Amino acid sequence: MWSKLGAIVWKDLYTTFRDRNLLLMMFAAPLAISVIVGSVFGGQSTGGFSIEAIPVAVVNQDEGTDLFGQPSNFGADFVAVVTGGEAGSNAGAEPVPAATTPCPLLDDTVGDGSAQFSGSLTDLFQVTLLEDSEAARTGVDDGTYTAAIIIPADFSAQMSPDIDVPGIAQSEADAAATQIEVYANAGRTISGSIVRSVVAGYVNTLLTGNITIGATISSLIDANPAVAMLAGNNAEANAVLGCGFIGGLGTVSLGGQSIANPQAEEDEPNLFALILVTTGAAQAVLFALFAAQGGIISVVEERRAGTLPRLLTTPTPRTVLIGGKFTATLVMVILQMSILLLALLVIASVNAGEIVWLWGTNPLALVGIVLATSLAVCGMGILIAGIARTPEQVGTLGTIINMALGVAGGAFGFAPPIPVAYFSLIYWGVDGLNKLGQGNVDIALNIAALLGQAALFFIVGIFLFNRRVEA
Amino acid sequence: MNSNHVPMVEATGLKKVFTTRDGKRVEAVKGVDLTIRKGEIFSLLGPNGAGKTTCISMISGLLEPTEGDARIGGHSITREPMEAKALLGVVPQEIALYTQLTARQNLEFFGRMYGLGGRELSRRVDEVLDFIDLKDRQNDRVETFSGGMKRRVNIGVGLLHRPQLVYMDEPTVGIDPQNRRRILDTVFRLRDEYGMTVLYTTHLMEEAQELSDRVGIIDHGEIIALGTQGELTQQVGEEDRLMIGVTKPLVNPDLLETIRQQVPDVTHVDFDTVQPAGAGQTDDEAADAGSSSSVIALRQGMGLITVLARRGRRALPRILNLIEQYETEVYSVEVREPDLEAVFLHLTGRALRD
Repeated sequence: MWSKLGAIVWKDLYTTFRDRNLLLMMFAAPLAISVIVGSVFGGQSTGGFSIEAIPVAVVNQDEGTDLFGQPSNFGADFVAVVTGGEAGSNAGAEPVPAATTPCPLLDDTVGDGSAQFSGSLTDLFQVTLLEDSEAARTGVDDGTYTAAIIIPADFSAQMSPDIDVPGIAQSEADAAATQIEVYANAGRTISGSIVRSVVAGYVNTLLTGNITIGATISSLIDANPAVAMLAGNNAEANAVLGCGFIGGLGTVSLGGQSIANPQAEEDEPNLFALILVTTGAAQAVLFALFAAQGGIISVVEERRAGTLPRLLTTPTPRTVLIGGKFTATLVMVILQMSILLLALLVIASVNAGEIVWLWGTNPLALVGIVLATSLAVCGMGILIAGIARTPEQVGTLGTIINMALGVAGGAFGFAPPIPVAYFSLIYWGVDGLNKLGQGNVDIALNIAALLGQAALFFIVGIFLFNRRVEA
Repeated sequence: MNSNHVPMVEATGLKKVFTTRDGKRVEAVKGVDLTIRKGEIFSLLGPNGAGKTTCISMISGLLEPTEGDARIGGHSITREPMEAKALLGVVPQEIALYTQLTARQNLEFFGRMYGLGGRELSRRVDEVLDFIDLKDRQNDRVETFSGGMKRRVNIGVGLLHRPQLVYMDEPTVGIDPQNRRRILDTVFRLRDEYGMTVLYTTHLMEEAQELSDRVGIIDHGEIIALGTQGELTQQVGEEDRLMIGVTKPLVNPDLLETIRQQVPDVTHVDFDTVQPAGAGQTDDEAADAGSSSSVIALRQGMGLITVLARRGRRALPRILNLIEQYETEVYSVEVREPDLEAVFLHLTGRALRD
């Protein structure tokens, strides 16, 4: 059985790699699109931005919280990060106080009570601070701003870790509900994506950093009741513990590359890499979908050419025939995605003059998301092959489905409503790659969703395909 | 001829019903019973759409029968499909090859699908390349081959695993006379040199007559006659078949009726127009229609009057006289002794090419 499966895989791969048009479609097109988009919007030299500052409205409604007796306002910290500690240049905008956490351990922030940052995000964003979220959205709608960043009132409360310390009241808010709203202009896809990435990076840093620190303090309290006593009764100790939590001082990271470290002026944001991640992830998944259909379409072509009926008269089980086709397509898709992701990494690294781990530093997670995405797109290919009667129908139907999935999955730069996006395998694949690009390896849900869709598509597709063969 | 009477194929009550898009049930094969002996060449003869391919597709395991079963070498195609298929080599009507691969790569790939491998596979591929006389072109891609060469590779694929039963589905459709002759010779070699049983479908009466030890005639999904050529022609008695080519695509219907009524010994009169290519008939089909008319070689747009008469040669002058009276120009005339075409005409009232 395995030799038959291997023969089918060999034959399909061999014929595919002799088809120059298909190779062009599989490898050259997505790479070219990603690089062109990156070059146009990201510039070709390190730190040399070729786009103007992105006009962004920021509405900070964060009411702050109390961490170990210390007032904290992560929303204000974020504002400080993107403004350099002051409001943007737009007249009429009210500056919002930046970091409100006087932290004795961090010299840079001790002084007038406000953290002063000089990170390069001030070059990237032209920030206007507003108090009315509706005004911000209206500004986006009429084109004044590319995006509006709306920080909710309970942002700090929800970002605070839940630590049971005697004598210290903690927020009871539901952390899962925490969200900074990014209201982006759908027509400015790249800029919108950049804003989203920066916000997502900031929130992730807060979450992961604070959870880690919180867990450490919890362990400390559990192990040594004296610490709890100290924490509950000593104001100075509380201040020290509170300052351990990350506010606006954290690094907003992307693939291991710092794009905004307020304490390290020499680090420029790697905008080119950011755009490569955003566009590259979308192109990788979208073209994988097309490549999968290109591979699976051969089933329909073989049915028409008569080679499939001929194979069905050989002593070869149908499962082996379909399995061979599926495996060959899977290999092609994995190869395509891997080559594309690797090529983008090389381009970003050459551009930066150093290795840029565009897709994070966890190879296992990367393999997992690539494999799960490939399985899902191949499953979709089988489903389309089961529905369509002719190769032409596969082409038409496949294009319609791919574009619909692309739109629903945010592959074209604008984010659809979340419930819609969940139905698109593109969303889960792109989101997984973007997460890895931001150094976030929490992609278990993405992988599970992709594998679930792969299984569903495969089962339904095989059922329909068998009916077609019998027809 | 090998006259081994152990059945190679036994089909019982084979029926296939398709459901059309509008929910209509179409009975393509209506309960076929068929026995093919080991070592014989058995032709299934019938017009296009008679159910030949559907019937054989069920025997070869490509289609699931709606009812009934078929056994190949004693193995049920529905219950032991892998064992049955291992005994069967299929040569489909279309060129079912991977044209981007070379002839050798095609043979090797299909050989693996039949479970061959290693040196055995290599040896069999060499043998088949010799058999189909394409060893010198083995490393050329099939897409560079002529139609006849592709046909030979197509046949070779079906012979790789030395099957006991070879099914050939109209293998001579659309090829030139030289390659047609080569294929017919190949069929004889398969039986005489390799002892294989050949199941051959065709709508060309001449091929069935030349090749077959026995013939089954199928029409509208049913076997309407089965036996040796001699046994079948006995069914139509001593009737000769007169094939009169006329230059007009249409004739006066009164002419046909007049021939039937006024010429003694005439039992049947039929008229057919040779369709121009593109008018519902491909070049291949037009060529085949011409071939079925044999030496008459009518041109497209002409007509063919077919007359069955017990003493055809005596009736001919009177018939030609009537045709002249109806101001119709005769292009060619041929008188044939009783054959399978006449059998089909006798049984169905239609010409085989209809």
